[in-house]
Amino acid sequence: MSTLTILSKHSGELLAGLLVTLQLCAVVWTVSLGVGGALAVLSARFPRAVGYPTTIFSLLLSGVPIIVLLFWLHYPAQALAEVVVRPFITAAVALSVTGVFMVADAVRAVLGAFPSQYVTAAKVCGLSERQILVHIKLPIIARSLAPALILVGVGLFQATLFASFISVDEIFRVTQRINSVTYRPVEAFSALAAFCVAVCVPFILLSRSLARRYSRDLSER
Amino acid sequence: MGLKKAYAGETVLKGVSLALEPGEVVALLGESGAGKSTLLRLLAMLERPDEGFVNLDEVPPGGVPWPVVTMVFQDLFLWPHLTNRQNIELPLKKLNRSDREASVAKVIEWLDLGRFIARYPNEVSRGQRQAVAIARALALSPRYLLLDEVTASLDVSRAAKLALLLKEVAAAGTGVLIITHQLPFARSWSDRFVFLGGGKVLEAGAPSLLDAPESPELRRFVAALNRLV
Repeated sequence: MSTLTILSKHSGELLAGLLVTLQLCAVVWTVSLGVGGALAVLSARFPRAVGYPTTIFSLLLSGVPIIVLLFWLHYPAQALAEVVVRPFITAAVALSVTGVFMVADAVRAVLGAFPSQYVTAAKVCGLSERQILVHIKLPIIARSLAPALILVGVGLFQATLFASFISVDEIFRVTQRINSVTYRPVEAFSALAAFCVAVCVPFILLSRSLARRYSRDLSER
Repeated sequence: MGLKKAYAGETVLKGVSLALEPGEVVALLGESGAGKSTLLRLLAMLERPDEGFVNLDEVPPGGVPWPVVTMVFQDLFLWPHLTNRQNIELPLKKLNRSDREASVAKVIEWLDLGRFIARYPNEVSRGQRQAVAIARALALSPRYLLLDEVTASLDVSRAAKLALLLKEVAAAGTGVLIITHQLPFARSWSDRFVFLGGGKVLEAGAPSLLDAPESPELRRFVAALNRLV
């Protein structure tokens, strides 16, 4: 049984697993971008009230492996709170928390490195605050941020595979199940790897291309 | 008038008074660290003086002073995500299209920017970027134009062209204040000079006085520049 045979024979299960993975990604990406972006802006605006606590929490969180966080939220946290939460929601929460701080760190780094001289130059040219935001700040920030955010997105997609350990029926868990039926681990996991490559590599290439294009060498010639 | 400014306890300007009239070109001279760039930033109203005040006849108190007064920075600060043309066009957005295009075309011709106007700032030489930064300021038709060391990287022909241009701009009613270390530029093209030292105006007057400076500081400064030529 070849990889292609597995792909065709189990396409229904794989697509169902893929759908769960994509749903999980959609939730995690949306929450991470929205909340992480807002947190970064608030951190820049209120460094004492928001910035420092965020930095400390982010530092602590970066030391906790995602799988530990996932297990902690799935077992002890729910036992302590005496609740039972669907694994999908637990995974979405754990990965979103991680994603929020990854995005916040990336955005904060770009905001912190923004050259304020460009704003000064815009001021003396008579540009309004709104024009400065729309035509100077946002385009420069977006160009610096896009490659980093794409890589965060790819990292979060790969992290969704950990959700299989708390019984979320995403694509990795489906592949494990197919393997347990077919006993063809090489082919089954090659199919999964091919799928991951197909999803991740274009985004990684896009990130590199954007970084090359927008991080132009501004040194004097 | 009476401008004083200190940073981290170190006094940079100790009471500088300077009037810039529309229609004149004034060269601001001084050693590094004399407070020239700080003075320009105060005159551009980018920073508040600790003491003293800056008065623009055309701007009511509390009004936005830009681009009645505008400035070209030593480090230029062209917006890197915009082409050279877009750098000049963006501040003119409030003009209608035909006026905007006419203004851009005028400065492109004045400063001979045609060959590299479509490129990005990082794709051209520093001298060319300086020309674009000056063009961006000139296109705004400011009443007061402050230039921080903009002649430093210009080639001889472009510097001469700039000097002629500044005279034209001044003749049209703009007051030009230019920091320069190029003595020939100050001698030949300015209406008067101001020499700053130790945070104060040490000497000021007609450019001819640069041939026979009164203060020992200016004498040393002129002698050092002459040795470089």
